[in-house]
Amino acid sequence: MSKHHFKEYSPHHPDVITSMEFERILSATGPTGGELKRPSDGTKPKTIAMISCVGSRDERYHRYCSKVCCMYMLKHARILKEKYPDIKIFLFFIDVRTAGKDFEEFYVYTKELGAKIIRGGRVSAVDVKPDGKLRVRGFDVDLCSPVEVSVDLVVLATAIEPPDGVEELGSMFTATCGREGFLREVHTKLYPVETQARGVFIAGCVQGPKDIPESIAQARAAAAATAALVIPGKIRFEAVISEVDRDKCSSCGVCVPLCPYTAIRIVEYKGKEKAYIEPALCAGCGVCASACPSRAITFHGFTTEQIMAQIDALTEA
Amino acid sequence: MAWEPRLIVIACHWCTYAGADLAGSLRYSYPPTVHIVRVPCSGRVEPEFIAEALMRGADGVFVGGCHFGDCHYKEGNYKAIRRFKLLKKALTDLGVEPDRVQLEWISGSEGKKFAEAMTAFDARIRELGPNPMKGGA
Repeated sequence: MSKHHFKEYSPHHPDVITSMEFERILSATGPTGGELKRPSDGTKPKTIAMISCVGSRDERYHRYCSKVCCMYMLKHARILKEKYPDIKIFLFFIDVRTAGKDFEEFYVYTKELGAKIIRGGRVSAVDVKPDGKLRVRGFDVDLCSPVEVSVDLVVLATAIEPPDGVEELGSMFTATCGREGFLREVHTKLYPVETQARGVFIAGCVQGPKDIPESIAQARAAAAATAALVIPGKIRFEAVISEVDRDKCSSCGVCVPLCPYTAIRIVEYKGKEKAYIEPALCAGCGVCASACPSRAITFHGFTTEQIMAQIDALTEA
Repeated sequence: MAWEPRLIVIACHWCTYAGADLAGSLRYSYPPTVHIVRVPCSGRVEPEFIAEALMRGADGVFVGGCHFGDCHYKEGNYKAIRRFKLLKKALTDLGVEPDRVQLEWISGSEGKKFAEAMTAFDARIRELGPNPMKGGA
């Protein structure tokens, strides 16, 4: 997210930057060659405040947790403290979420290095003082009182957002997006990389905010799932799918736009255009079979005859 | 023997059928007049199924599907409601009480709703009385 959404944090000030920009400043290949300089005047800041959950866990923007911010804020603090022990760092958190292997140790170590962690409410405001310093106002639950610090540089850990156009991308292969705009998996626990579109798998932040180990684990799962489909050289169809009797098909094309899986297309058969259902794509909903005016589509497992027979049996006096 | 209604419930496999299952597991009781036909999706329901049931003497036909946005097949329930509205209109024109057919969204977690919907549907059909088409179409 861009910092300009957050009017309360003085986004117009050049020394209020996002974590992404700060990452570049810290990088040896970045614009400052790895030297710590603040954007306004190129001097080295003596005090830095970092603010978490900017746009995340916030009803006005995104309700979800961006998941990686707590850890990279600690990482930034750690790099700074190791390189420049005299810098004062204030980390403003709502909660510190460092769940994961070795993550808690990282948190403890960063605290031991001397980074000041302020847990509590959301930072209410960042404003510019007459002397040019930035004033950060927050709340500290450990002190049970509001706190105020004056700093030279403010780093905002802004939310991870789904990229523009992900909805269009998804609709190209009939995968759907969830409420938050990320592509949706079939099942959170049992099918975490599968999408509604058969044969299309997702991995990484397109499915939701996640860190590098998780993205890699998911990508490997997606690769394995893809390989499992491709390597045998053949695909096992579901038994419960629809099939067109092309001799009966009148080529009206009613079924084609109805299919939610784009499994139906019109192909040539005996010199005429007829509907054809791709068995590998058909998920077996039966929408086409109930719409076909020529009754040319047989839905195996739930044929019209079978259902009618059930109804007949149940209505027998 | 006094007249007992015969109700056909066409339930989608993923939501309403699961809801019916849950109603059983949770020991909610619903009238024994209900007879369930399972289909994969409410989008599979042909208007002919409902017409056939009524013609064969069913006193009421209830179609259950997933809530909008919850369809296992993405949008089958939207197709179901389109067809259902047309069918209901046609039935009204033919002189069948429109309340004899009902479409409802009941999810797999709504066992109680399923039982309540069945009880209410049974009560409504009892009010309407036997299907006039019974015993000859």
